[in-house]
Amino acid sequence: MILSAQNLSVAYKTDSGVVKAVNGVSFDVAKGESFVIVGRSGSGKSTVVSAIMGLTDMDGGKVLSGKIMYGGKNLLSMPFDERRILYGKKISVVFQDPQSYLNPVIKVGRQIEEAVVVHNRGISKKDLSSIVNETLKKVKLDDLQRIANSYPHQLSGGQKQRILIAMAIINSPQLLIADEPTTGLDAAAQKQILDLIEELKQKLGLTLIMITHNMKVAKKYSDKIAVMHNGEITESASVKEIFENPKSEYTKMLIEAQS
Amino acid sequence: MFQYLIKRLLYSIPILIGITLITFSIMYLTPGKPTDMISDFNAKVTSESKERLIKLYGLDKPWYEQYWNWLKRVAAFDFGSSFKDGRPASQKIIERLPATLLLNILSIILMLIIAVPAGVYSAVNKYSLFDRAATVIAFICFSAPVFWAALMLMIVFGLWLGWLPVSGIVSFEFNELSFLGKTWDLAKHLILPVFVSALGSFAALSRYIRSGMLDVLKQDYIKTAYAKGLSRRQVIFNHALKNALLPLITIIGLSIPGLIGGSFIIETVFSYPGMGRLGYDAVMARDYPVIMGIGVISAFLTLFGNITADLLYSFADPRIRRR
Ligand SMILES: Nc1ncnc2c1ncn2[C@@H]1O[C@H](COP(=O)(O)OP(=O)(O)OP(=O)(O)O)[C@@H](O)[C@H]1O
Ligand SMILES: [Mg+2]
Repeated sequence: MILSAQNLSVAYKTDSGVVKAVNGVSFDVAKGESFVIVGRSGSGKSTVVSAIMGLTDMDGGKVLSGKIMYGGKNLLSMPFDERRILYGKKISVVFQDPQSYLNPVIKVGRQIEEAVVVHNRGISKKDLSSIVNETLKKVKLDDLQRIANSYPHQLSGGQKQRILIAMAIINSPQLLIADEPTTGLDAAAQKQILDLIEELKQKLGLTLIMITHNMKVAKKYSDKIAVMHNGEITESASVKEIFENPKSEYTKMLIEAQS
Repeated sequence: MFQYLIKRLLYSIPILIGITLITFSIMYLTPGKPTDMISDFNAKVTSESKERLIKLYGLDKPWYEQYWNWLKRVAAFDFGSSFKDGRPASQKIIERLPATLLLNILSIILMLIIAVPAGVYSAVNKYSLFDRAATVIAFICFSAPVFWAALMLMIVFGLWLGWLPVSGIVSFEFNELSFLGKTWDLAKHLILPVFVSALGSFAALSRYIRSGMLDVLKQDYIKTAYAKGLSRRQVIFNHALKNALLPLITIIGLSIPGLIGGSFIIETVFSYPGMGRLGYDAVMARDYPVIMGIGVISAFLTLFGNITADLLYSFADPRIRRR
């Protein structure tokens, strides 16, 4: 088991009271598998991602209970400086709707380099630029020089998406979390990005947690599926089982709605 | 970029003229005539010579004609002569410029040195003891009237403790002092006025920086920075700070007119020989040429400050950079 959530509950404080966004969620992700969480909008998928990345506080939320175990340790109770060594190196994330996830006043190239340098102090200029170029090629970006010298607003949505994927995989992590990595892209670009993630997964041997609300995507790209509904996981099983023999009514409904 | 600059400069011309027109009208509508000030306290001046003065200054003409004449002269860079002592208004203003510049540049520097770190630290440690204390202090600074703060500080440091001089810019024996002595003498005179003029804007600026920083720290790209594994320091210094401090360019640009116009209140309270005090005296004496001269320079510098700030901003922020 590479990562497991145990009885995770997260709530947000809002003007209209406390919203319990995730309620007693547990799941296990085995090494090398593609674990997909599906669910409608607002079911709490991104909240789970935030909790894994230690960003719940920043969202104005609070982890009420539970653990997220990684390498025998609970990420949620780890000191910040111990945890941050894992992020970007062992555990990486591509956030949902990435348009606003690049710093608008820093050149894209520098933002990518930073992801390497933070975990490899004193890396030589030459090694750094070769790693960056290699990774940009991996995510199928051409015209590398121009892109590295651009600011985020000068790039297209798909290019930014690829940059963020590049940043996430550049240190060859064990675990990649992709939160609806294709929202906001046209159909062709969606397929490209998903295939790219799949290809990288094969090549780099990483474990994938992918979030989607699309059952077809879940079916095509996953080994195991967890169905989320109203902050809870209603059903979790292998793809085959979910699609051939769904247990809950909600899962049946999701499958029917999209077939 | 160049075209944009030309356009901005052209747009400034009607604005400048508008500002001078308003200044002129306000001045004209204010009760009291320049000739009253010269003649009423002087028994020797007869009403005949008063008439002569009025003719000489063209004060008997309708106001629009007076304004037009003034405008024509200014177009040739002639600001006229002071009604008070007959010296060219431009010369009187330029004389006072260095003192005002010194005071205001120092106070802007002081303000930035205090307000930026305080604001950033408050935001990063929101609701900490420091943040609460800073809020209270800022509130006090903000609500204390400048003249009151100035007087209180003068009483404490000037009268009770006797550490600092309370008026002027140098001592009587300034010319006899050594170079170091001169510097120290000047510094002592500057401490209170610089501090007081930084005080009010310090409060506003530190709050502004705090809220700007808090806003930036909520942005998505900060999440990316944490997700990369950066330390808190790196997130703040490499990612948050530049975004939060960009608006400072505009703020500093907008404070350029204050640099020159000088603060009427502070310079008057501290008998500081700058342009603010010159302006105050000129208004009291209805010395039209000097008032208008200061008005023009302030208006010009305001526009200049605006344009410079916009240009700098467009260099600093890639999103609005022009080709
Ligand atoms: N920062 C926040 N503050 C307050 N409430 C929030 C916040 N983020 C999410 N929520 C609430 O928590 C619930 C779960 O949100 P979450 O973003 O996890 O859903 P999601 O499954 O990712 O949805 P989507 O498919 O639309 O991305 C929703 O009801 C949402 O309104
Ligand atoms: Mg989401």
